Amino acid sequence: MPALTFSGLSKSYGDTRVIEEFTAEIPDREFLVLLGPSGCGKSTMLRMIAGLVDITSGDLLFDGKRVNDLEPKERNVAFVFQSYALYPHKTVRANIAFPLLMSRFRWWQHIPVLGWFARRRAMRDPAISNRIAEIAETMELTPYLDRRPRTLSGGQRQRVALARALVREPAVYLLDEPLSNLDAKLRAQMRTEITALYRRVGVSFVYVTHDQVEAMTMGTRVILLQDGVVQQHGTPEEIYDRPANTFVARFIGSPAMNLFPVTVTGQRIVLADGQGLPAVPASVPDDTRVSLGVRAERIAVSRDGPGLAARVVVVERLGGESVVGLRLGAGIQDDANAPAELRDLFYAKVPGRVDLEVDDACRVQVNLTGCSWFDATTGRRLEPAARIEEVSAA
Amino acid sequence: MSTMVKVRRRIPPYLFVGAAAVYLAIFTATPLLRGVWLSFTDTKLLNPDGGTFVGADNYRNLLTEDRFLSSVVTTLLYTTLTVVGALVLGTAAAFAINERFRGRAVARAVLTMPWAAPSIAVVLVYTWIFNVEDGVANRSLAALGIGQQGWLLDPDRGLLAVTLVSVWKVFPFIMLVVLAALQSVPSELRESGRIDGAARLTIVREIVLPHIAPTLRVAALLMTIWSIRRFEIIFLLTGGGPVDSTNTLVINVYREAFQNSELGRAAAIGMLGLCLSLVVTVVYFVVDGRSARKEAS
Repeated sequence: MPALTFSGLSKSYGDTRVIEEFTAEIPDREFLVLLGPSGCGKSTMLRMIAGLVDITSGDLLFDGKRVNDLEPKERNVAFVFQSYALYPHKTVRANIAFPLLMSRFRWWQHIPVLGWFARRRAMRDPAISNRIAEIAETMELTPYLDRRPRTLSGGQRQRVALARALVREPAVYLLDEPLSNLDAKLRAQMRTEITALYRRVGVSFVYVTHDQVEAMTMGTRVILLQDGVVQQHGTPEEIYDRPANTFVARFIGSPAMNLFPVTVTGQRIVLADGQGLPAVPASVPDDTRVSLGVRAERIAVSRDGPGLAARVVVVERLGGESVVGLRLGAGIQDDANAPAELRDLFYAKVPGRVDLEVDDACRVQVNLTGCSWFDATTGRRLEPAARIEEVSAA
Repeated sequence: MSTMVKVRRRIPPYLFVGAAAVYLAIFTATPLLRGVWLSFTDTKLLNPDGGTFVGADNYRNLLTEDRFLSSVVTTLLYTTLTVVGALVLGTAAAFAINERFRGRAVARAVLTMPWAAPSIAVVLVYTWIFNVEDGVANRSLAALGIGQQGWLLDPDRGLLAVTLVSVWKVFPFIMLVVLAALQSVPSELRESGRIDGAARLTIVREIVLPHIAPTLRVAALLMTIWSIRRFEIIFLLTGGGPVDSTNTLVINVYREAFQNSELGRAAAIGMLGLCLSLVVTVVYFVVDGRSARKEAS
C-alpha cells in the first residue's frame, strides 16, 4: 500500500514537453484525482505511474522505492482503462481470471496442448475459482460470468473491468476516466460504487478525470493540470476555497467562480461599471487592478433592496436551487461596443426557487467572506488570503 | 405509399445486382457450364465442337489412374506447404514490421516487393538461384558443407523448390493483411496484458492472435484457393516435372488440354479441382460460422 512520491517528474516526446517537472508527495491510501481538461497530460501522468510510458526525468517512488525502471507487472498496480480494455474473445470469467493465471504462468505453457491443460487446471483450482466467484458476487456479475464482453451493457463492462482490477489485490488502483462512456445516471451510480470500493479495499487510488464533480465528490486529494503544468495540488476543499490561480478558480465549481475585474481605490473596490464595494484587501496596494473571485453561492439576488444594480440574463431552476446569470449595471452591457468585462455574465446560486425572470432589474449583494484575489496580469492568487478575508469581512 | 412508388423503390437493388449478374453470367457461368459439358465428352483440342457425349467415362478413368491421384496428392501437399509457409512467414513479417524501428518504411517496401514482382521475373531469378552448378542456393549449401542439390532436376527436390518460390512470392500478401489486422488491435489491450502480468509472447498468443484470427482465417482461405489454382510459377519453373513431382491438378489440366489435346479429360480434371476448392470453402464457412456462434453465445 505505497505512498506515491513524484520527484521532479517530467515527460517529453522528442522536443515536445507534455508534462512539466513537478514534485508532490501523496500519502498512503489516498484517493488521488488527476484533473484537467482534455490534452492536459493527466492520462500520460497515470501511464507513467503504471509504467506504460517511460519517465523522461525525475523519480517516481512507491513507499520510497524508485520504480522508474520497473515493468508494469512488477509495480503491482491495477489499471482500469477508459475503454475498459476487456479481452473481447474471452468470457467474463476468463477476463477476471487472466491476472491470476498470468501470476502462475510458466514458459512451458506456451506449448499449445500443455498450456491449454494448465489453464483448465488452474481455472478449477479453488484458490482461483473461489476468488473469481467472490469478486463476481461483490460486483454483481455472477449471472454474466460465461458471457462475452460485447453482450454486456456499458455499466456491466465497467464492472468487469473493475473486477479484473480487484481480483489481484494490487497496491495501487489506477483508473483512467472509467466513467466517461456511461450515461449521467449510471455515472452517478458508479461514482458511489467506486467510492465505496475505495473505502472497502483501503489502498491508494489514482483516478483521472476531466469532470470536476467526480474530482470533488470522490477524491481525497486533487492534482489539477493544464497544458502539462500542475496548477494546484491539495484537498478538494483547499482547491475549491483557495484556488491557486484564475484557471483553477474557473475550472473548479459549477457554476465556475465569478471573476470580477476591479480596481482598489481608497477604501473601495470599484467594479468595471463604476459601482463600488465597501471593502479593501489589506495586501493589495492602492490603485491596483485585481480580479475578485466570488463563488456563486456567496452572491445573493433580490428584486429590491441594497446592493449592486444588475439585470437578469438567464434563470436556471434546478428544483432545490436556482442559478441566476446576471450582468452588472442598468443596460449599457447589451451594447456590442461595451467592454468585454461588462458583457460577461456572473452567476448567483440561490436556494429554492427565485422570483425573477429574464430582463428583470435586480439588486445583488456580494458576501466577501472567503473570496479570492488574483493578480490581474498573471492570474496568480494574491496572499495572504486570511488577511484579505478579515478585512473584507469587516 | 402508392404501388408505383413501392415498385420504383424496389427497382434500384435489382439494377445494381443485375449488372454484376450479367458480368458473371458471361464471363464465369458460361465457361463453367461449357466446362461441365466438356467434361462429359471426348472433345479434342483440334476439333473443339466435334466431341461426343461419353457420360462419366472421363471421371471414372481419372479416378482409377495413378497419375491423376498422384497429382491430387501433389496439389494437396503443395497447397498445405505453401499456405502454412506463407501464413507463418507472412505473420512473422507483419509482427516484425509492426514494431517501431529505424528503416521500417524501407523494410515494408522491400518485403512487399515479391508480391508486386511479375511471376516471370521471379521464376527467372529463381532459375538462376537454383542452378545446379553456379546457383546461389547450392553455393550457400556448399559453404555449409552440404553437397549439390538438383533443385529443379531431382524429383525429390522439385516440389520443395516450387513451394519455396511460391511462399516467397505470396507471403507479402499475408503480411499486408495481417499488418492491417494488427494495426486494428487496440493498444489498450496490449497495455492491459502488460499490467495483468503477461510477457510479450503471452500477449501475442493470448490477446493479439485471437484478435486477428478472423483475418488469418480469411487469408488462409484465399491462399488455399489460390494455391490450388496456381499455374504460372510451377509451369515456368518445372513444367510439372521432374518426373511429375510438381504435376498439380492445374498443370495436369494444361497438359491434358494442350499437350495431349484431350479437352474432355482436361475439363473433368478442372471440375474435380473446382470440387476441391469448394470443399475447402465449405469447411471454412462451417468453421467460421461455428466460431461466430460461439462468440455470440
